[in-house]
Amino acid sequence: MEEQSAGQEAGIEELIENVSELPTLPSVVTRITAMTSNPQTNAADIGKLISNDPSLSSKILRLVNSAYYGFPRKITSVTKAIVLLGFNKVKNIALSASVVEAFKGSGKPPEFDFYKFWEHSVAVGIAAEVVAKHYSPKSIDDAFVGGLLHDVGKVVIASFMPEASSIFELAKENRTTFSKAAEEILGMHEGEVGARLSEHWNFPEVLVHPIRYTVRPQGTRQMRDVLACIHLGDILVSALGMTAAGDYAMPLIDWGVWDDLKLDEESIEQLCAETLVGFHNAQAFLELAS
Amino acid sequence: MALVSLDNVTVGSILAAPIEDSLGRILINAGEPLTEQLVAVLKKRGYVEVDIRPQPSPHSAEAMEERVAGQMASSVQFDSDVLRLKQAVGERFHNVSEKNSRMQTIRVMAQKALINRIAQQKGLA
Repeated sequence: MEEQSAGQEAGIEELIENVSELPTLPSVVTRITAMTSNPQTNAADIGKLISNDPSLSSKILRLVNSAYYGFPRKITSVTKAIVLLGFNKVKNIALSASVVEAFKGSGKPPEFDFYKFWEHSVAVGIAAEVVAKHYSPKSIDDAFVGGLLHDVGKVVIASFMPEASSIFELAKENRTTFSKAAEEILGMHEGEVGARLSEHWNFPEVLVHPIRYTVRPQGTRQMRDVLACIHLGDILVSALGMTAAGDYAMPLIDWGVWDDLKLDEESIEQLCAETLVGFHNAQAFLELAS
Repeated sequence: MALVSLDNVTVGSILAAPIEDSLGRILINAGEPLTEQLVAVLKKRGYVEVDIRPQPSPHSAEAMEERVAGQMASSVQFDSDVLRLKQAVGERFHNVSEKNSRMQTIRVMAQKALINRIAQQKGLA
């Protein structure tokens, strides 16, 4: 792993091992992930698998029929949704819906607002997708789901680590980011915790990597396309007022990302405007957390 | 604030301090732009230099904000929701140095996008 000492890796492992009751994702999600990477899988196979889980099916159909996707006619079957959206999009929706469900009910300190956490996550997913549309179209799907899940480490810390309240208090007292406060108290930021959890859930590396490096993109040269979209999306969303839970300061843009994307006033303004429009249509995603 | 000779001052520069006569009466208020006629009158009256508000560097956040504000109708600029929004954005960026030009660009452009959205929703622009 780039820029991570053996000592730090051991620290993360110990932290994760000490967390009892790490949530598991429904087995259907693991099977969907496996099937979508099999070239012989067809839409009907995945549709049948998802349809056997009524709760997941209804979530997927509600999202697919929302203003965000803007289909002119109502989609009534998961198989049809897969044909229209593609495997990746439906897989990503299933994954995200399951992650939210896994953490919705877990106890969290009063300082952690779960709805605000999910609102920020949805906004970053949308912003990252907007950035990808302009700069890296092949990364659109990965950018969207990576944005949705980039802060999953934060909810692990909030739900399962005794240091959580101290981290939130320190961030508030010092008017700084959750990441800086977590590094001071835990010796690592939430990206490292989130990455380890997503490995535990057997997420593909294309999801694990951005979760680990969104906070510090300068720590890696791999998957820069997806990472840049999510990192920039995170900052734009914070600037637009949908601040991350536990943040009392702005995260700072990595200059490498700025240079790679050749950003300027006009492009930033356009990305912000399109993110606001996208978020306006994303109510169905926010409702996953209610 | 900068003292500039009337021989070198740029027409259109903004006065940083009022110009007073020998009896302390204000001839020209602070904040007024210097026209060609005003420069000529001041020279005739024996003034040698004036206190001018420094021009923001064209690439500074301040210049960006002025430029963006200049593109908006006054009904938008002084709407109470817009003013509150600017305050909120400024507060969010409390940890960002003025010298961080990239983050300042993000601040000004995010603010502009939010203001445009309010203006559209209210039919102000």
